[in-house]
Order: sequence, then C-alpha cells, then structure tokens
Amino acid sequence: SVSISSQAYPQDSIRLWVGVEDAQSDAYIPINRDFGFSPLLQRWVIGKRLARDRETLYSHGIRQSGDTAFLFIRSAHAVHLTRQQY
Amino acid sequence: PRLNTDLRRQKTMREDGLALIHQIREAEKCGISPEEVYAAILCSSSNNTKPCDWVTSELPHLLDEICAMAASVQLNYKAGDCGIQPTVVRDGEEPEQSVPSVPGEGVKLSRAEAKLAWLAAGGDTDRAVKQLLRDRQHKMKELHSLGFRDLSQCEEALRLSGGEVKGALSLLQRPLLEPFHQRIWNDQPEPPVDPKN
Repeated sequence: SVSISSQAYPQDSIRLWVGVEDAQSDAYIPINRDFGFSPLLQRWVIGKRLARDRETLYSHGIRQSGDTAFLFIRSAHAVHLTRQQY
Repeated sequence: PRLNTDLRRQKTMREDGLALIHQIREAEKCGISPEEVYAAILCSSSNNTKPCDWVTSELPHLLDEICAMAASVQLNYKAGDCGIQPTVVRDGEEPEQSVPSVPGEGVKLSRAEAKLAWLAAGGDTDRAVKQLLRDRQHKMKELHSLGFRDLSQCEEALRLSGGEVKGALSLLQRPLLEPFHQRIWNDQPEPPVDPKN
C-alpha cells in the first residue's frame, strides 16, 4: 500500500468554475482535461454524500461561490486500470 | 443574517465532506473502496462502528440476507421465441399465466453478486435485491442465448462462479468436452501413415 505524505499535495483548496445545474460528469471534464485525472479515478464527496454519476452538483447542495466539494483520487491500481486504458 | 446562514451552511458542508473523506482514507488502508465506505455508513447509520469494522463483521450477514430476500421472490421464466423472458413475481401474487415457474429455491445467488448489487444500489437493501435479480436475469439470458437451456444447471453454475458468466460458461462447457478428455489417454495406436496415399 502506498500513501502520500501530506506535504506532497497542496494544502490549499483548488478553485473550479462550474455550473451548478451541470451533471456531475461535467465536473469531471475540467479535472480530466486540465489536470489529467481519468473520471474513473475520481470520487467526489459533497457534504455527507459520495456523489454518483449523472447527478447534478445542485442536487448535492452546491449553490454558490465558495461551496466546497472534495475530490478523492483513487490509484489506477485500485480501479484495475492499465496505462493503455488510461 | 443571510450572510451568516450562508457561511454556516458552507462550514457544515466543508466539515461533513472532510469527515467523509477522512473515513474514506482510513478505510482505504484496509482495502475498502469509497463506494463500500459510503454504503456501509448508510447501512450502519444508527451506531458508531467504523465502516472498516462494519464491512468485516456485519456486511456478510447483510449480503446473505439480500440473497435470501432475492430467493424468496419467485422467478417466473417464460419460454419465448427470442429466448427466456423472465418476469419477477412477488410472493403471494398470482403469476399471470400458468407457465412453468421456478420456485424461489431455484435461484442460487452468491455473496459476490449480492455485494455488487448492494454497491450499485448505494447500500439500499431493497434496491439491492431488485438489482441482484435483474443482474441474474441478464446472465441467465446470456447463458440461454449461448445454448444452455437447463435453468437449474445454469443457476448452479452461476452460483459456483460467483455470478461471473465467463466462469459459469466454462463450468457448463467442461462436461461437453469430457469425451475429448477421455480420448487424450486413449491406448489405440496412431493409424500408420500410408506413404502411397
């Protein structure tokens, strides 16, 4: 098992510009395109909930600027993803 | 005052999110996926057990329960032109027609399948039961389309393979290849090569 020391990732939050009526999958797009993490690796936590595909950010309670969502990125190994598939 | 409510809402949202992320990270150490953690939290909402512990101590019982609930739902297979068209009939309800029906005991479900269904249903037991039956029906249909028409044989093969069609297929095919196995060790000499031919 591999773990990352907390110094290795940024301690600050990342600001992301999204439309709240967009499907969850639309939040995947900037993360995938701009930062290079496959949607298959992304798990979004909003409030007490683990978001599922095709649910809107609005339905999870994201309303306005400053609302926080957490992005948990799984390892490719954990989701059985090979470099070719990635 | 409006600003205050907004700030409080954002603060709660952040704290709740952090708490869940923390649990996901903890559980990752014992090899449990975020989906499992989330479903476990929803199922064990009343008490304060760690998702990690709950998955090892309670989940197997819940999965057995889901299997039993699914088995108690009567499966009704209708033979049609395009293969079987299973319809689910709840206990106590009359099947629409007097077609041969498979009693609930005929459905042999595995924990592995129950777990997949439970995760797909986000920890909701009733939805997991429906999902489990739906998945199984798809698999039975697939095996049927590949030429395996004996329902109870297919059910048993799927149970043994943990619900994997590929595994069930090889279980079902093995007996068909048995004659070849017997021939491998055949004592008959090779037919001589005829040079004139």
